[in-house]
Amino acid sequence: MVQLCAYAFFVALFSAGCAEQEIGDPIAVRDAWIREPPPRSPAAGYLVIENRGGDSVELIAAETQAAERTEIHIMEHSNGRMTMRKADSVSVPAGEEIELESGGTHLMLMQLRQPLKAGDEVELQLSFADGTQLKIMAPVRKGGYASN
Amino acid sequence: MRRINIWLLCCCALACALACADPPDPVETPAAQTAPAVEVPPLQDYGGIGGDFSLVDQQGEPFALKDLDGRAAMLFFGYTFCPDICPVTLSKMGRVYQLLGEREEDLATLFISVDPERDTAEKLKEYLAYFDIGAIGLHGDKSQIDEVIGQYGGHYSFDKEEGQTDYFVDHSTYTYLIDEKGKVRFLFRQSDGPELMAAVTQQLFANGE
Repeated sequence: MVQLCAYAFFVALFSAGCAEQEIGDPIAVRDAWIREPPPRSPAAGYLVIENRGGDSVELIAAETQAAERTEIHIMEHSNGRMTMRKADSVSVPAGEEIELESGGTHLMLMQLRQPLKAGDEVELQLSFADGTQLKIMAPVRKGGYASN
Repeated sequence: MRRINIWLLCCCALACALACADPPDPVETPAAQTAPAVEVPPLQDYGGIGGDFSLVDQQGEPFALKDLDGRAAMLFFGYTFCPDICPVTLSKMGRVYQLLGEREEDLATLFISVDPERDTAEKLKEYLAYFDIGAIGLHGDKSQIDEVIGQYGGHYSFDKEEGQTDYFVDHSTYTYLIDEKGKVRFLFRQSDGPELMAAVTQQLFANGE
């Protein structure tokens, strides 16, 4: 009986610690958020994709009810010059993680269906080349250096 | 024997829980009011770039550097459809003003649009109001923008089809610190933080400028 309780305790702790990730073995997505956009501007989305498997995985699409169109964008930055272009996919090598972040690769939410404000939550549906589909909730935040 | 197994199990459970613990919040936390000490690089004299120009602000009024009336300025190029770089820079300027405290009125923010087709005075007004830092939005026709960006050693380009409204513009990401004489004194990179930008600006003020 005591051993049973200990096992239950073990499972509960394990589950509680891993609550904020979406896992579609071997892919896990975490820390998603959307930057609150200025009025009538597109919004940028950021997240971390972990690949816990033995083969490379590829994010090939992202969708959300919040926007008519969502694209993956890559930024190349050198010598003070920034080039941004639409990408068909983002690859995550085996055993590694890729962060979609400000100044780097990010999602672009375009033609927003409603204004997005800090505190809102947006559901992102992510599709991978191997058929994995993951949904993750992304809070809208005032990003950058806002003091709130 | 049974007692040892239970303790071992609980220790394992605790270890697992700690291993799975949430990582530190990745959201950019606001810089501490007591900003970390930064090594402040000296002001420069970028004689080969910069200079005055004539554009139009978001109220539709003509604007030239001399209209700053002795204020220093942070100048950068961007556009309102920019999803990442431009909002970050404008937010960063908000933090710079906080760090400058009572001297914030001595520094203007000049946002020059490289997207004359979409960035009308109205659009700039609405966009910049969101950031609430009193930024001056400047626009002009293509030849005027080409001239100003050339003066500042910058660059912009875009591919757009006829009638397309959702195109993106590649552009320089430097922010130029301009002194009260209209001279470029520092080039900040996109990766430079508000503490550095405020500290360099304070040098300008300390020089009695």
